[in-house]
Amino acid sequence: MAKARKAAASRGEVFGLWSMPRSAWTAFPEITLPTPAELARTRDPVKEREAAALRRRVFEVPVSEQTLREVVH
Amino acid sequence: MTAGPWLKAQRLRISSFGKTDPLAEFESSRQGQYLRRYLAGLGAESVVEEPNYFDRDYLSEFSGFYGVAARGFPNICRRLHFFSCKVDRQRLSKVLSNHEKSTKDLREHYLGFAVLRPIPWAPFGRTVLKAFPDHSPGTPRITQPMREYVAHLAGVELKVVGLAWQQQDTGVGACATIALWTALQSSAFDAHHAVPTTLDVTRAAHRTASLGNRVFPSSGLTIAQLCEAIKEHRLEPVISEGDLDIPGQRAFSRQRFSTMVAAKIRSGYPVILTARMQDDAVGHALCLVGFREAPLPAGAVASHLQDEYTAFLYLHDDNIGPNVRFAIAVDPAQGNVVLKAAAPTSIAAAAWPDATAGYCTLVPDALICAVHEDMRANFGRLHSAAAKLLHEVDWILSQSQVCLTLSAGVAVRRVAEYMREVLPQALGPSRELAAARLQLQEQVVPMSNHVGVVRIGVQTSAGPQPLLDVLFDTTEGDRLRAFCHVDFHPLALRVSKLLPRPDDLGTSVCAY
Repeated sequence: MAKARKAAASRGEVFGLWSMPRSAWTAFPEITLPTPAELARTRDPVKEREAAALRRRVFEVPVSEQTLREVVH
Repeated sequence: MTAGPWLKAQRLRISSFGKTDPLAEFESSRQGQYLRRYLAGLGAESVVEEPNYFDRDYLSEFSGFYGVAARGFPNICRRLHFFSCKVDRQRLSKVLSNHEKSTKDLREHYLGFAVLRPIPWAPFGRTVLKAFPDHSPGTPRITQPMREYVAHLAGVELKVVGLAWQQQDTGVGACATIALWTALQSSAFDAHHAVPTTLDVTRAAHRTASLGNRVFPSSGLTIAQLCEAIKEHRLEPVISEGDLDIPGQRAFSRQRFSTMVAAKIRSGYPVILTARMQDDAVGHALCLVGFREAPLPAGAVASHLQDEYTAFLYLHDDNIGPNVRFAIAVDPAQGNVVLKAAAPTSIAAAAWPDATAGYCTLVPDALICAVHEDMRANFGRLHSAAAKLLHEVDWILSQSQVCLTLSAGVAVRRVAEYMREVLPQALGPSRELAAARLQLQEQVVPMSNHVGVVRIGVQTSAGPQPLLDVLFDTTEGDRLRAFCHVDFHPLALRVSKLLPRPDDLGTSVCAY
């Protein structure tokens, strides 16, 4: 599989997150990151709370009694 | 003492794959049609039949159910072996003489086997067939739960990698039993326990949760019974329910369904899917055994969970057969995930009828997994952590005037597997691999046997390139604690230091 991925990289194929071999890596652009103080100034607590609520709604779903009782044939 | 009406020795039967092979007698069943088309797609050329084969699973079913039926079922099966080369008696004799080249050649062409039980309405017993060759190594088919099976044909060892499938007989096992039986065969449990038979699974489901219902014949199980059966096998059940309400049932959003399924299968845990069959609203259980890793759709710019774009699943359906490809779609009216059988085009070209054509659409409502007892972390919480980290890294980078699209994914692996397989897959043979392995060994606090891996990647023209992995403790349930973060690029370390609580990511491991 490693050989196949290497060959795929040389053909310019597109990879998934867990399958990209190092030979297909590219250099990232030079990035100047903000300072912690700049970041603290631009944080939006309301937006962050909304994002957290959305994450909980999609990923942290409790299991209902009704589901446990469901019969599959 | 006379010889009696006992079983008689019989010659192996060798036939060409085609209209007159032993599968021909099952042409009227959907499973028979599917298997023939699947084998045709694998390039099957020959079938070798063992007319007398004692199958462990059927013997167990026989002892618990069929042995006392008035019909007088025999206790012996037939077994078919499939090859993608011409096999005749002469060639087989050469192999049986231990001729090295012939043996190697026959083994390379082995496609798997199917046990034929003497149950007229459900003949297909334990069946293991290899998967189709993967023609897209960039976005590979992920079939982590598959394992190696060894079959012996007249003393010759034949190996096939797959995951066992069988048809439900509704005597010993309904669809739920079969789905769990398949799931418990996963490679993830190789070192854990002996694989139970369908009889063991159904009995385990009733041991503590039967509520007065008889054990056999088994026409169905509740999800609670499935979970109890998992616990009886010294594993732990994990249920993920749908996040949407549609009329009459729970259902999944695409984001929740695709990410949860992909993460579990990538972790080696087959997923028992319970779903409504859209035509008649009957609850059905199947076993998801693989998926095709998703590339980022063209034009996508927002950061995202990579598996959200998964388009195809491979599942074992006792109504059809093993490794059936289904497409993930979204019901346009209600926004929930539906699954539709979608045979690959390479098979569609074969001259056999498509047994999946016209098969009903499935509406998933819950996912059930058997995981190791020490794996207490919730996949939902891991995804939540991944989404949160993605959000924070994305936000930090968005303040830098450089536009990068990020993606994230989740897996649970043994630490040993992470170091042996996951890291080398990213780093290849390199100094960086050696350095990262040594740091993980010598500089990080002792880690749990299983670790939750959250990977963040940066979208490039070749796909998402790994930026960092965060390894989480899986032994403390919802309290996710990061052991370390493996940085594949200096940017990862710089960004991690800007997170609101940088220490939350644990020790930094340099892999660049």
